[in-house]
Amino acid sequence: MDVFLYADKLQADSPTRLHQKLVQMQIPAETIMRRLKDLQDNQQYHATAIQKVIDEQMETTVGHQMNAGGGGKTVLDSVLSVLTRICPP
Amino acid sequence: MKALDWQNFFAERRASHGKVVFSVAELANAAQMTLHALNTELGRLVQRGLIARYAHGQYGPVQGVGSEDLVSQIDPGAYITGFSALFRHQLVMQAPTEVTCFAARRHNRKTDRLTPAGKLRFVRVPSAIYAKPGQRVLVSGEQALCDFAWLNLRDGIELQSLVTFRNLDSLSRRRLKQILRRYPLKVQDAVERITGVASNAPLSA
Repeated sequence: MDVFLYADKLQADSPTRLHQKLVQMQIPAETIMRRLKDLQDNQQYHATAIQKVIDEQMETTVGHQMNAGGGGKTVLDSVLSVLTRICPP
Repeated sequence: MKALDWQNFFAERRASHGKVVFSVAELANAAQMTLHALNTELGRLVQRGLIARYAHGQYGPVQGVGSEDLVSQIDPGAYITGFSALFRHQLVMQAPTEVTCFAARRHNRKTDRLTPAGKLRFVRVPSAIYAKPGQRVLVSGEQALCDFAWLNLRDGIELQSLVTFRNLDSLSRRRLKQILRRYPLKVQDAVERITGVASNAPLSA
């Protein structure tokens, strides 16, 4: 959800900075790839989970706007697009 | 009664009985008015913003009414649990925008209620899961965790996909083990994974 909400803050050098950050946090590339694959392979599950977060944790007005824009499925598609862009294999 | 009298009435009842939401019959009795005359007066007072209508036939002061006050008034058998209770016990990082209430009866097909005290979501649960904590409206952290797991696993969602837990070491392992036993196996497994407490372990462990 945070990736979706703050995607417009990403800069041209974000992929490099993200890579450095992940190295600092000692998160191996395999873990990232596994999680990305999970997001792609289980889209129905993650879209439902995101929808639940929208329904239960977002302010009513924001939630309505997000649902009008397509809800959890749209958020997931957008996040996957951002992540595949900034986390190149 | 004048607006100031109503405000005094609410303040006095809060101080003496801790009661903040009243039915129309209770208000008519206090004001010594007929129900019809009171309904007319209430309409005026609500319109002027001096009194708030919290549910069908339930009124109270505009400020200082929490979801706990309201839940017990709408359904005396309902209690606050799940995500809302976890947040109040500071066991999750995220804040809910609705109050989850478990009830033993159906709510006239209207599970979500928008009130001046927030959005209340009533969920009718099986008797094995339903466990009102005595006279209290808010369940313990242990029960809230189990109810949260039950509610979301029923929808096929893992708990960690929704919230970030914290302070779970403050939960009583003994109480958690006792409570877990009445939940389905998949709830027991999920809670055990999160807390490391095995429900089939001896209580003295």
